[in-house]
Formats: sequence, structure tokens, C-alpha cells
Amino acid sequence: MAKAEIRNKIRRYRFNAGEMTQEELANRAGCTRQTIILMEQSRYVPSLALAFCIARVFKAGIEDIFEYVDEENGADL
Amino acid sequence: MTQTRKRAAFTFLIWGMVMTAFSIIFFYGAGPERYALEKWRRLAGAGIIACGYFSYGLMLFLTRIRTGNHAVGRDERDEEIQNHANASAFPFVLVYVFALSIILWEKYQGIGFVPVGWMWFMAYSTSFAAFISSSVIALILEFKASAHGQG
Repeated sequence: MAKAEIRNKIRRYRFNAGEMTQEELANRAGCTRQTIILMEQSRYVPSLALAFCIARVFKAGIEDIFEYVDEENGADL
Repeated sequence: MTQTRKRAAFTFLIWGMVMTAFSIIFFYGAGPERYALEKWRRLAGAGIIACGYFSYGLMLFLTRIRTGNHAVGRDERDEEIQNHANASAFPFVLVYVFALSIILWEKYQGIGFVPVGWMWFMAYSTSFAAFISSSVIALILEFKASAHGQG
């Protein structure tokens, strides 16, 4: 299996949501602010449940925010 | 500071101090060979361990997530770090017990028996090894996963 990475656009979506704070997003998604910080830095990959919660906060689809990228094929969108 | 980091740091501090205090009592004076025969040392050792467990329990109580607090204090990442730390500490404890047994065998094989006081040391120090290794691993994982974070 090729080495893969999960990228996200949480920072952009926060900006589009009126510069929503990391704290607010964390509280609404049910995680800590540190987890949001690490996700934005692509240093933590959330569980599917948390990814859905984040997508729901932004009223977006999970694939709008998270993308699966592997070395061979690039962004899988 | 997250609950995971707080708890790991306090666990390391509490059990580090307990281990130091117990080691001083255990190796004090006539040393391990007479530990089981000197009642005051056994009682002092047991008292130190009891203080350790009491402090540990108190720390867990004081660092609990308060209901009604708006912010989320613990999430899936904290659970993941804790589970990983516990799983990684397990082989460390196994190696510790094995290594201590071999060291005792090497030291006392000439006389054919191990002074019974060492059984106390092994029993207590296994707890120290478990608590300390688990907290150190949790701190490392927590640090690695948030070294550039804002919190």
C-alpha cells in the first residue's frame, strides 16, 4: 500500500466561518483545542467520528474538508 | 495544559519521589539483607507507598474533568496517547522484572538464596516502574504531538 496522508482545510473553513476560533471549533466538535491545532498542522489525523463532527460544524461534506493523498496518485478527489 | 499532560507530569513527580524515599529506606543502614527483619523499616516503606497511592488518588481527583466546564478537557487524542503509553510501558515492566531477577541471581548465586527483603523491593518497585514508565512515555508522546501547538 502506498504511503498516504490525510490533508485538511480546517484553517480555511474557520476563516470562511467568520474567523471562528480554534476554541469554538473544538467545543462544537467535541475535542480539545490542542487537537485542532495539531490537525491544522497536519500532525494529527482525527478519527472518522471526529472528522464527521468537524464537517458538521462547518455544514460541509467530510470530503470537502479532508482529502486522502497518496504518493502515487496525489490528491484522491 | 491538557489533562493528559498534567496527569503524566504529576504521576512522574509523585512516583519519582516515592521511589526515591523508598530506596533510601530500603538501602539504609544494614541494607536489603536486614530489611525484612527490621520492623520500623518495613513500616516506613509501607507508609511511603501508602502516601504515594493516596497522593496519586488525590491527584486524579483534583485533575478530573469538572462537569459544567464548557471546554472539552479530554478527547480521542488524549485517549490514544494514554493507551499507547500504557501499552508501551507493559514490555518495559516485563524487562525490568526480568533484569532485576537476573541481577539478584547473579549477586546471590554464590550463597544459594536471595534475602527475602528483596521480595518487598521487587513488589514495590514494579509499581514504580509501571507508573513512571507510563507517565514518561505519555509525556514524550504528548510533547511530540504538540511541540508547536499554542496550548
